[in-house]
Amino acid sequence: MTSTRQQKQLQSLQQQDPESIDYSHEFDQTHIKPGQYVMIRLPSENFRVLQLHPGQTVNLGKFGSFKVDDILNHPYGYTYEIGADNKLSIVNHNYELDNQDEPVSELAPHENNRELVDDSSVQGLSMAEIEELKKGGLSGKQIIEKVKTSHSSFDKKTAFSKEKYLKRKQQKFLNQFTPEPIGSAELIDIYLDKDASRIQNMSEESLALMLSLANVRPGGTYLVVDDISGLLVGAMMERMGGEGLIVVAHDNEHPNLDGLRYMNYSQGLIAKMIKTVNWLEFFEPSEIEPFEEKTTEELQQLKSNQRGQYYRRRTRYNDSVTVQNLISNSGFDGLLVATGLHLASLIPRIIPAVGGSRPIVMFSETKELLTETTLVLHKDFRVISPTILETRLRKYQTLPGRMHPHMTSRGGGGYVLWGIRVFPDENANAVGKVHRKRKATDSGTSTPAEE
Amino acid sequence: MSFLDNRDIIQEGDLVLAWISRGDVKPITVRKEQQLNTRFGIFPHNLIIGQKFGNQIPSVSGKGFIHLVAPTPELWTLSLPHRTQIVYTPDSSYIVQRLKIRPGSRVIEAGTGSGSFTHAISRSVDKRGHIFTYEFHEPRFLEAKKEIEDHGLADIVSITHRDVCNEGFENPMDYSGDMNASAVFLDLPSPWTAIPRLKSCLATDRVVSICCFSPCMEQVIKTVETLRKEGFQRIEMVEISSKRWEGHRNMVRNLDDALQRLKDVKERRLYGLEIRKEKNDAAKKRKIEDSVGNASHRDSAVESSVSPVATPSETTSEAVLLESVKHNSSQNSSYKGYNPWGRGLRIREGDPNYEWRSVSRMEAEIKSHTSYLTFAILPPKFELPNNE
Repeated sequence: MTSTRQQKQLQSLQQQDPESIDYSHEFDQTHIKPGQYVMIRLPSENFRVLQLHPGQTVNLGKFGSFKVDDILNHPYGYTYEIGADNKLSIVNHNYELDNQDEPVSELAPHENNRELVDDSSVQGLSMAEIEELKKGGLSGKQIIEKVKTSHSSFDKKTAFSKEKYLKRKQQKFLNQFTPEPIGSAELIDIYLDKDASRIQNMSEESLALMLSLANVRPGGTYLVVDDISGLLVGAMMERMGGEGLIVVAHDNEHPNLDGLRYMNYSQGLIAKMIKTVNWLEFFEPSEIEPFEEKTTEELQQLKSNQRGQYYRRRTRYNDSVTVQNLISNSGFDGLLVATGLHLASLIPRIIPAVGGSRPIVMFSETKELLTETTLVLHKDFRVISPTILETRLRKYQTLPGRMHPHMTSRGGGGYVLWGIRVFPDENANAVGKVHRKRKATDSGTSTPAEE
Repeated sequence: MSFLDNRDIIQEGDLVLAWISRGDVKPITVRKEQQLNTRFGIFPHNLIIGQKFGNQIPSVSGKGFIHLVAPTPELWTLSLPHRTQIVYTPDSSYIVQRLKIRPGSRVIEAGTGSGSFTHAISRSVDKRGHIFTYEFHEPRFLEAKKEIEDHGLADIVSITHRDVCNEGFENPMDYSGDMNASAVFLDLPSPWTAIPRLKSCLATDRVVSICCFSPCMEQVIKTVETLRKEGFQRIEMVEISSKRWEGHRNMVRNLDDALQRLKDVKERRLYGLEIRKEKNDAAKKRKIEDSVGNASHRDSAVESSVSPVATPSETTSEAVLLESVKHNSSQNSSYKGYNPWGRGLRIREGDPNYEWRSVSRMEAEIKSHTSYLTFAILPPKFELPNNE
């Protein structure tokens, strides 16, 4: 009797211990889970972000409504069509595809738009009539068919033009939606739509470049300055899969990591992976209050809320010790920075916290700020090869016979500065200077100039 | 150090990148009694063992230096022995992001090539995931296999010597069990022949993402057709272009300085002309006097008239100009006129005696096209939802 009770108690003790919880399941984004934020992509190429509560009905405006329960626990990747009575059917289950929708890849030689008159008179249906049809319970596909047949010069369009016309109508009338899990890519979409300045206009390709250059991987310990709503931290968590540590240095009382909530990480996971330190604590640490570990027996004596308090204090203490040790022992495996603070004066002061041969990577929306910083780093022998990189994505219209880059794309996207932290040899740089002057006559023994 | 751990101190057997400059990074495996010879000197491995990663060390003579840098997939890409055209970091980083390659991912890659992308994804999938990579060229396969073993990646990378376009992806070497891949990267001359062979190796319970890497538009068109036929969706082709910039300083040359300098030049030229005129007059006088004598004197007379060596003169105008030049020269015996930007001198960029602006310059040659990246997804296998 007593032994089982003790066992149970011990179990509950461990459950309360935040450090013993496994969070790896939170990185599984294969299925739609209750309580999660999801992105609902619509035919109009807009999207909605919402939290899925069981029992709820979601209204997608002109695209219709659906019951959350109808998609819960489905794998992501399906596109649903809303039918009569909000019934859902999956429309992209063409795992074994029929070739009906095969797009045209070539125009017949006689096809052109010579005979085409294209003004509002060609459409026989009025907006009001279309609304009537919708109310009459016609599906999106049926409405598009009606609109097509009442278009007096539809047949005069070229095959390409017909396809384009139908696509436009689909974006308007198809009652379809596609739920997607929210990762770093979707987070960028959310902020670019809402307010791009909150992520400093960072593009997905710039983010990706930063993560690779900074060698972000499971088990690493990184120093991060994230003034872009948690996008950088969230993307790193994705790549680290729950293993490792992110120390976020910030210039407010609390860091702003708002975006993280969309990524469905639990408070527990965030507390485990992310430690925060403000710049004052970073540069002028106050003495850490001593902390005494309690034995299991002592813990069992405590009331539940006292135990909670004990764990919170222990976490606070351990976090402070961990962070201070990392800072003073060059303990970080990489430095990633996207901040509004002045980089050229900030970076030299935090270099000492970064370990030998570890990458230093920073982002800026403008190249000028990075240029200024590389010039400072050129003189600072603790970073080799500071280089500014610009990476830009160009999207193509990917249709057979009509392949070409899109006419417009988003400007901006930012720049990335990458360097490697090293420990300079005292004699090297003094000697280096002498040799550099001699270089013209004696290149064989000269030290390579710091780049 | 293998690519997957985070040690600080270099041990025997570690792969170390000897960093001479960005364009000159030498990968070495540290072995006692061996040495690295560079044009900057000799670096015995014995002196490298026990050093911290990141240390700068002198050569035996003490005249040259290198940095000891730990390998990362990106640095490896800069230094690796090229066996084929490689996937560079701006492309590979975007592909990893877009294919959602993360800890636990199971990835198919064909072909292995020089292995630069294999290294990049092995960092991301971690020991929880797996990489199935295929190379049909035997010498390249053998080299890549050895590299994977040497770099401590053998647990997570299975490399198979095979032509996947003809023989498919099933039953990879050194691996038993379901492949269940959720990401596919095809860097092949004809990906459309390999795509139809993928399905049995792909996960069916989740979205599968694919990227085909092809330099030519004709390849993209065929690939897109095949992807459609095979049920892939959201097919999109994109291109990544990247540029490298370096920080420099550009001297500020103000108009007022230019005006000042022109005035100075004018003044000095005037002075020079006066001197020359005097000299010419004197020479003419002499010429007339000598005209009766030897004709060969003429050449030397002309020569002396342009010679900068001033002959003593007693005219008043020259005395005034001389005074002004003397005044300018009083601070510096080697005064050569007003020179605000150090013209004719060797000025180091950033010399504190001059005013500078920071500027950025693009690298001399950019990669304006690497390959087209064709992305698509395959939705999970459809099963009627049973919760109705």
